[in-house]
Amino acid sequence: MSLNSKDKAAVKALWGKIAKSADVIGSEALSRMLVVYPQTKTYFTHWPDMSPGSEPVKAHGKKVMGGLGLAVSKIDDLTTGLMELSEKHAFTLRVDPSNFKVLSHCILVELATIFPKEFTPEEHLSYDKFFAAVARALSEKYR
Amino acid sequence: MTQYTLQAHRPSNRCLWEGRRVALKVASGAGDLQTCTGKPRDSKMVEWTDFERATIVDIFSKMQYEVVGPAALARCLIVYPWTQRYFGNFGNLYNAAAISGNPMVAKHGTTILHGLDRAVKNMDNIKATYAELSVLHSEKLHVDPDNFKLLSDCLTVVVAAQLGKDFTGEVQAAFQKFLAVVVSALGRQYH
Repeated sequence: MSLNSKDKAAVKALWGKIAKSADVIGSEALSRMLVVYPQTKTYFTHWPDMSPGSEPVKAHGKKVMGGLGLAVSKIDDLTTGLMELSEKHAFTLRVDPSNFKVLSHCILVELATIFPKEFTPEEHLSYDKFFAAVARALSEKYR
Repeated sequence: MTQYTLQAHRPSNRCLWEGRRVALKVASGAGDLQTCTGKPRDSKMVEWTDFERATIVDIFSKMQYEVVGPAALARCLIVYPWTQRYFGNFGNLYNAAAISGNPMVAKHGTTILHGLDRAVKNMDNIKATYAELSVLHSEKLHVDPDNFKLLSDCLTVVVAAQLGKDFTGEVQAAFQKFLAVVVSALGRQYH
């Protein structure tokens, strides 16, 4: 299920709009994940505040969206482009890869709430594939 | 949560319900229950908070079934194309536009959504409510139960688009919990 040219075009097309509100989208999607999937809070116990919209959540949401922006720019070779981030997730963060799916789902839901018209089934398809490809690239160095 | 109970004073390692010897997992701490592969004792499986009940009832009372149902099913057939395997007689499913405009998809999407009404009206006994539908999906329709989750994710996305900001994390959690219970009930009678 690799990304074809149609997927890449669809991802880039909507990303232009997403990038303008990236910080908000990142913060909201992360907040959503922490509420809907409380088990994900286990990764953030070092934060003074894990509540939706808090400073640590906002800062981290921005970071995640930055990573996704990098992925969009390296969409033609995600494995190489995300190598450093993969090493970080594999050796330092050690996030269980099942959580990539969970966060991806929350970002998709957030996109649906913010862009109800633009997040068509075709965009949904391409973004679902894109996030799966990013997750695969991030898991590359795990074992 | 279901509770598997085992009386500590029983001399043998026979399973309480099925009368056969089973490998028992030893409890890891005080108060933990040993488990076996027997059937759960409780029939009441799911606890709903007042917020969850109110949220589910509210979402479905305001739902436009003829819009949301078709949109959710079409989205599922587009985003997860292998689900089209169950709709060979639905005519033109060749591309997203064809799927979105297909009247059989629209009709069936509405039917599916109305099927969820039963769960909304029987939130304390969804398992029994869907026993017949589960048999139907297993024995007659031969639907891979993993597909229920795919459709439920698409329904979540469509409802999110409808509700916008009102689809908060808490509302999403309640909605996804409801759908997870339905999905579990639908998969129950497969063997």
